[in-house]
Amino acid sequence: MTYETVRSLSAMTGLFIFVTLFIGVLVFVFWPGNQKGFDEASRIPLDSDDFSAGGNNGR
Amino acid sequence: MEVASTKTGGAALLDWGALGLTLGGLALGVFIALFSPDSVMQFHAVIFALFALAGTVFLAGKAFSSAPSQPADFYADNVVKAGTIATVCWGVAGFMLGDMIAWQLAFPALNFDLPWTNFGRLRPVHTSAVVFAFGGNALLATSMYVVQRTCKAKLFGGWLPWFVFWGYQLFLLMAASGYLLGVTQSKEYAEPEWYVDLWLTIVWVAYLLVFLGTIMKRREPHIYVANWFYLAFIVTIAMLHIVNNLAVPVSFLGTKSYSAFSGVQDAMTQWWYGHNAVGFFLTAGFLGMMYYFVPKRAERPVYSYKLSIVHFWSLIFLYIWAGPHHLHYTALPDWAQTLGMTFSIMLWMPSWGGMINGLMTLSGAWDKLRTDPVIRFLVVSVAFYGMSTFEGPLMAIRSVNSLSHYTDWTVGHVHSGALGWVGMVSFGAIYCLVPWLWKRRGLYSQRLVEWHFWVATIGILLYITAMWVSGIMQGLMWRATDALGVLQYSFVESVESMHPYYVIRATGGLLYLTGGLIMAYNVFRTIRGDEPVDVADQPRIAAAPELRTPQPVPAV
Repeated sequence: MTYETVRSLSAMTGLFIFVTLFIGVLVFVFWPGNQKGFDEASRIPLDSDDFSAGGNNGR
Repeated sequence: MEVASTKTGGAALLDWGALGLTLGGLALGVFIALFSPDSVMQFHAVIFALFALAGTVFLAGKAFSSAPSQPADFYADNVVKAGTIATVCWGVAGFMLGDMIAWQLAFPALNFDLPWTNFGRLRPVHTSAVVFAFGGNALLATSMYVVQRTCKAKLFGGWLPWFVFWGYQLFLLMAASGYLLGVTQSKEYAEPEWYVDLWLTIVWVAYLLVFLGTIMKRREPHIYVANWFYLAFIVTIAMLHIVNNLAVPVSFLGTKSYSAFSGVQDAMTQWWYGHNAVGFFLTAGFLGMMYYFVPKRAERPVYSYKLSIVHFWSLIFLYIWAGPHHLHYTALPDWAQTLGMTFSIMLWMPSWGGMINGLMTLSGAWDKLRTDPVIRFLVVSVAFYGMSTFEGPLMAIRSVNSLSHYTDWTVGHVHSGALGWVGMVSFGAIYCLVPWLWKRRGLYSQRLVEWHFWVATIGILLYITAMWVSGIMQGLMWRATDALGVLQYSFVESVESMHPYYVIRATGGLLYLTGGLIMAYNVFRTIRGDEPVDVADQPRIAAAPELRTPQPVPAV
């Protein structure tokens, strides 16, 4: 195997892995069942303050 | 889930173990101070021994104390307070050093012809002071604040966060004093020598343990996106730091070492490190800050949580490949240069995705920009983030780079990111944190925040516009040839032409430093407990959680 072959093989492997990972992330993000979890997670910074003041805050 | 009450035996054992370690550190410091032939090494050993002594006294006091431990606060905030104060102090010091060397470039006589005050030694003190001391302490403080709130859990590790904080300050002191005394391994942003690098590795592993430990014991099912960014920052910096600093010391009692790499491999490793110091220290870490403080201050959830996930994974997978754009037209193979350039251009997408996500969080509440200067800091920082992450990929294009590389354009680009993005988002976070941590009804003066904002913004604009003009002029002068193909200008002619822009830049830096001093004064008065002068003008969210007027919960 020449240097050039190794280089192009690793480039193609990298392309394949990254495109697959990216598609995986998109599928995860747009999977309908995940929406509720994202909505909950996005509110975390807004309701975390009073936790120390008011005991376990109902959780 | 809770096992806190049953682990006193184990915790005591850990305290005793730690006491042994600090005693060992003290002995090591004294040994090196006595036997090293290298005066800088001796000086550092003395500093090290003093820190170890302080640690020994602290731990011995804990171990021998018979007093029952206090009913602990829910959150461990004292270390966050220390980090916030350290951020302000290091920030002012770092800005001042930067402005000093900016005036030196305009008027070289200001280096006083002394080795300790020349540009070559002060420049790494400036970069380390602003990046690692100001930025690093801002990240330490905010990450330890944010991870506790978003996990609804106390910081993991008892005294371990304090070890991280003081261990990091020790690293900074040894690094900065080493540069002043001429000790450097000459790798940009990785100048500290081998023994300082080893110490930082220990501190960083402890930081990772504190952060991960807190996430592991969270009472919240989700890991909020800010924590993903902070974690990526901590893990990646550990990897970069260890690999780029692989070196063989000449002797165990001396400061000098030689890198494990040489030639183009050394250059590539260095810029793989260097660009990811930008990508993961100055970007991912501060994005963690943005994803907590922008929604928190605006009191609305982030614009799109989905976008934040795509933003996170694309950013971390792309950034790590962008380093070769620092080595265009060098001995690095062409394909590697092209790879670095391509990945840099692809970075436009996640960077702007993140910017849109930060800015649009304000959607429907744009009036807050007018009434709350703290949110203005946060939002303008995101705008600068968008601007400098547009400029960066542009400059990574090989043909643009042939004009911009080695010129002041690069310096201007770095500072639009550093002063505009990193600085402004940190100021915003500090202005949020100080009243929240010290339980005040607001900042001492919101008017002073307004002053800080405008003085700093004008300073940045002077800085970056001067460097655009100066940099492009330099690039054009260096490549200008006459009809016979002979270079038209000598190098010193380009240096001479830069003088007015250097004066403008140093003036901009002086304004930015002035803003930092205004902030230090305001933070000092707030911490001291002085009654806020304009509390009625400050938003509800400016007050500490306990002192806030309740807000009707909006329908989701």
